[in-house]
Amino acid sequence: MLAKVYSATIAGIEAYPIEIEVDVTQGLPSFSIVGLPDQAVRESKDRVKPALKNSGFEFPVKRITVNLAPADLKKEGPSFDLPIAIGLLTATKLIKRDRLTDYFILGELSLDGSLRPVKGILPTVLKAKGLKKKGVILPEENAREAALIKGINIYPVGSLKRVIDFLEGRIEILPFSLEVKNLFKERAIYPVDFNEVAGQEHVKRALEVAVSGGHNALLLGPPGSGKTMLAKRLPTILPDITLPEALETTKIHSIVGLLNPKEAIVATRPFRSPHHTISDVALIGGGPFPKPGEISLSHNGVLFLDELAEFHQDVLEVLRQPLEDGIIHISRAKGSVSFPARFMLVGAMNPCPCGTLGQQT
Amino acid sequence: MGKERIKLGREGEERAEKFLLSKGYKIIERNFKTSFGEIDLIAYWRKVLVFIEVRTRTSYNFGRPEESISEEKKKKISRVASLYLKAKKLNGVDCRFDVVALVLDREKGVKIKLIENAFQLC
Repeated sequence: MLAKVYSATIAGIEAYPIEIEVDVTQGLPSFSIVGLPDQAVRESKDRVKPALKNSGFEFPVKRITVNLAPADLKKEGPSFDLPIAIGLLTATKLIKRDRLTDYFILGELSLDGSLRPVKGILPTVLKAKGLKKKGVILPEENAREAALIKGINIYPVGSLKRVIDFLEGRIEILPFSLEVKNLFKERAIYPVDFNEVAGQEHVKRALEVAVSGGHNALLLGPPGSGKTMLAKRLPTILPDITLPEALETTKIHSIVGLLNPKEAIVATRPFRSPHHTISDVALIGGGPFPKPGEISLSHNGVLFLDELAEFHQDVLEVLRQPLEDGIIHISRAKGSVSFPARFMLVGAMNPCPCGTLGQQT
Repeated sequence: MGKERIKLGREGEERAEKFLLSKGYKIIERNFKTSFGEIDLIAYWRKVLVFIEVRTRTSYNFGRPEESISEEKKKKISRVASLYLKAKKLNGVDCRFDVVALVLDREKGVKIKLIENAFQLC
C-alpha cells in the first residue's frame, strides 16, 4: 500500500516541498530510499527501524520503497526520519491516512523514538504557510523558532508515539505560540557596550562616523591598543536591528544550524570574526550544495577581520563583489543560489610584522 | 572443505530441520542449489515463505555461529532467494530470511537459536 507524507528540504536559502512516498509490498524484505538522498537521509533507515520498535510498533517484514519527490532535488539531513516513519506506519495501515496531507512533518529520530531538533526550521515553516498547510509537526526544541512565523499552527512533539497519537486524534496538542515582539525585545541585549571603552576618543569618533554612514572601517595600531575590543562593541552603536532584518538574519543562521533553540531569533546585530586561516568558500559561502558563508552570517551586522594582512589574498579578493552588491550569487554545476550579504566590514591590523612601527622604544 | 566440516554441517542442518518442525515450520526444500549459491532450507511458516541459513559450530571459541554470516553470504542468499521466487513463479508472497545457529559441543550438549527476520535483501 502507498502512503504520502509531506515535508521540505532546504536548497540555498529557500525551502522546497518534498513528498515522501512510502510503498510497502510483499516480497523479499528490503528497505530502499530513492530520490537523491544524501548519506544522512540514507542512514535514516537504521534510525527508523529501532525507533519504531522502541515505540511499540512492529517493523514490517516487507519490501519497502521510499521515494522522495521531486527526484531531481538533492535531499539533505536527518529531518526525513519522522516523515518516513509516519509513512511506513500509514502504508501498513497502523495509522489512518486522512490527516496527513494537512501537515508538514519533520524531525530527526533518536533510537528510542524521541525527536531531535533539525536545521532550517524558519524557511520550512514559511513554505508551509505559503502552501496553506494547516500546520507543521516538528520537534519540541524547534517550536520557538517556528513560532516566529504567524498564521500557521505549530505542533511541537517530543516523540514518535505522540505524533501518532496526535494524527490518530487520540490526543490534542495545542498549537504553540509566542509573542514575537516580546521575545525580540527580551533577546535584544548585547553582553558588551561601546560606552565601556575609556579614552581612545579619536578612534571612537571615527567609528561613530563610520557607523552613522554605514561605512567600512580599518583599524590600524600596535598590539594592545584596543582594536579588537572596539570592533566587538561596534554592533551596540549600530541602529537597533528591526524585526524584518532580524528574521532575515535568523533564516540564514537557521539554515547552517547556528541558531540556539532557546534564543530562537537573532535579535542583535550579528558580529562575526572568522580566523585569518579561513578559506574563500567558508567566507562567502559555497560547497557542492551551496551553504551560506561568514559574510551572509554577518548579514545586517558586522564582519570583523582581525589581522587583516594575514588573510590569504584570494580570500580578500572574493569580498569585492558582495561588498558592493550586498548579495552573493554562488554558482555551481549543481545549481546556483543567492544569499544576502549586507554587512559592515571592519578590519584590524598591525602597522608592521612586529607591530610596533613608529613607536619609541 | 574437509570431510569433518561437511559432516558437521549435515548434522547441523538435520537438527535445525527437526527444531524448525517443532516450531511449526513446513519444510519444502532442502539445499536448494544454483550455480552461484545454495540455501540450506526453505520453509513455510504460516503463509510466510522463509529462507533459512543454518550455521553450525562445535564451540564458541571462534565466535558465535550467527556472527559468521558475512555481507557476501547475505548477498548470495538474497540472489538465490530471488531466483527461487522467479523459478517457482511465487509473486506476492510474504518472505523473510531466518538464521538457525547451532553449537554442537560434544561435552556441553547442543544449543539451538532461531533468529527470525535476521537480515534484509541485499
